[in-house]
Amino acid sequence: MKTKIIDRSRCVGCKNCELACIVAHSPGGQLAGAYAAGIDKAVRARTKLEVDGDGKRFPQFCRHCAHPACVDACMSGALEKRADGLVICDPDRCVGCYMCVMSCPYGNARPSMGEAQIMIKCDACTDRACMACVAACPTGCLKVGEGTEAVVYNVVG
Amino acid sequence: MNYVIIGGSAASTAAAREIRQRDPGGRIRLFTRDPAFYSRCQLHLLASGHRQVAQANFLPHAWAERFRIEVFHDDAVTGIDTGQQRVRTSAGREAAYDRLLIATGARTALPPVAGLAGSRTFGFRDLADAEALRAALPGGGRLVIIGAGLVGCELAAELARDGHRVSLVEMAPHPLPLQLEAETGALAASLLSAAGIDLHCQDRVARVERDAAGLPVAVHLASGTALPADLMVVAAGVKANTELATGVGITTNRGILIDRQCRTNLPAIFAAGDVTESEDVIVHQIMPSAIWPAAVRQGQVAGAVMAGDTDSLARNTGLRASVSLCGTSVVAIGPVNQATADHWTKRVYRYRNSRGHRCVKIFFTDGCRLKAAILWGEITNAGVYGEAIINGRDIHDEQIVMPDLDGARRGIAELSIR
Ligand SMILES: Cc1cc2nc3c(=O)[nH]c(=O)nc-3n(C[C@H](O)[C@H](O)[C@H](O)COP(=O)(O)OP(=O)(O)OC[C@H]3O[C@@H](n4cnc5c(N)ncnc54)[C@H](O)[C@@H]3O)c2cc1C
Ligand code: SF4
Ligand code: SF4
Ligand code: SF4
Repeated sequence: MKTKIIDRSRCVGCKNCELACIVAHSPGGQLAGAYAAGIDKAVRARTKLEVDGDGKRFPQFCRHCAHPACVDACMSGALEKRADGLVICDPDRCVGCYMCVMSCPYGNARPSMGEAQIMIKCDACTDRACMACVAACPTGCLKVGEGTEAVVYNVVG
Repeated sequence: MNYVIIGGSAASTAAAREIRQRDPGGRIRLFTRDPAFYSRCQLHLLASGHRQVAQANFLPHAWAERFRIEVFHDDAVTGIDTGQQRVRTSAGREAAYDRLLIATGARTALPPVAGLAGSRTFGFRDLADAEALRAALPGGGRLVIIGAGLVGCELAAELARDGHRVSLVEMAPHPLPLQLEAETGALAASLLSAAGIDLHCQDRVARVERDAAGLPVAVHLASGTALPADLMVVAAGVKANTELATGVGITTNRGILIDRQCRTNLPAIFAAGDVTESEDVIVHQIMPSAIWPAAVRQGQVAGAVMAGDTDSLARNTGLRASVSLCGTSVVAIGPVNQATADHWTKRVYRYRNSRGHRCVKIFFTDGCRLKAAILWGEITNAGVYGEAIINGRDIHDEQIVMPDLDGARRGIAELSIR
């Protein structure tokens, strides 16, 4: 199956992936669309560049886990681990209880902060030809390859 | 292998799925008192009418068919015959089992208050409760909710949003007493009050006054305050549905006692969810859990073990809660209330986030371990804090208890590198 391969050692903290994710999920596919509903309701990235204790940046991406804690916590059935390995949220079923946010051990389930009170997470760009973050990554930190998991995190090399 | 599952909610359906994944040929029968599958956590949305019951189904489309589960709705198990290994149901069915799961959950506990039991007093646990309340609401009367825990607060906020006149009574000094400490508790109180809820903390319902026809007139509080009342909802605690178990010699305390494999003291009988008591990983005490994810986890373990596989509740906890109070997101993890008793260090960070929202983060540490956390207003990364608390990960004091929030945030981010 198609696998997102993440090599943390190559990350330079440029945040291109964050930006690409915001653009891909904004109205009209434009950065300006991200702010259409106002600055306090701006579209959030579904991935995040975090800073570790030594001040080094690293990419924190949804792993589309084999045993996803977010799915186990979801009381509406909005979150589902699909047969293709992806963990996808159905925004129409989500009630915004944020039990998933409370449960994802990596912090990859987030409140949307937009108009609707729902969660957002990486949808693997399923309605686009290729993953926006991968296409935008200039260092080879993010790649797509073949594998048995939806995401392989922290491959070094 | 014959599997019988009692209950049609979080724990029971999780167990059924796990069994099927391991035993393709087994017969799985699920009996539930409920008329349909629905998420109890959405009852306040059903009571207000903002969601319909079909939308509250938490299972994927054609779940029973896909996993080949024989589902019997509106059919309560009335007795277990442990000698013959069979159950009887209210619809007159009998079902033999090799493995039995009791996942009967809990029900509203009615406090012993004079005049409380009677017409126009509702529990809040089942679909019938939400539908009865929904039917009674258009009268435009005054509603008194007893108990400002998670259920009471969410219901009060939901109904106040629609313009209903709601009073909320709580014995503790502030709402959500199990989840919040004094500072965030005060914030919660002002949010609820600002939403138009008539909040009475540190007070208690002394008696309910009813007229000659038995209809409620007023709720009298211990302080002497009288709240005019047409409807009352009791959300001040639950009682585990242990009756089936106690009748046949299964050991119970407040709930059915289970081990880490969800076994009861009887060999073929397992239990999971809100009906049970098990060891909580954070506080290492045997206690009930009352949250959806804990019930699901227990159901998963029970299902796996019933089907002959291994799994363990080793990392399970019920000490986690997420709630949206009138639009403000709050997460509490760990035994927030034990903090003073255990002399943990308390750090409070108050700030405005990039969107201008007022936020508070409170960490309780015992030196090298994060023990409990309250996130008010900004809950992103809540699960990372949870992971640190649940797994008791050694963290250097300065990683989490930084002099500034930014530092603490980095310390936490570091814990998510895995
Ligand atoms: C209004 C409300 C809001 C909530 N919100 C949240 C939330 O936001 N987050 C959260 O984590 N938790 C929440 N909870 C708690 C959560 O709903 C429970 O922890 C969870 O439902 C427990 O699941 P369970 O399977 O153990 O039992 P239950 O959900 O209580 O289900 C028990 C099942 O057993 C059936 N049953 C009982 N006796 C019999 C019998 N004799 N024969 C056949 N069937 C029987 C019942 O019909 C039911 O199907 C909320 C609860 C309520 C009431
Ligand atoms: S949101 Fe978190 S728990 Fe869910 S699949 Fe992604 S990484 Fe796993
Ligand atoms: S916020 Fe939505 S997706 Fe997350 S647990 Fe609640 S209902 Fe499920
Ligand atoms: S795959 Fe798509 S949704 Fe997921 S992080 Fe990348 S850009 Fe965002």
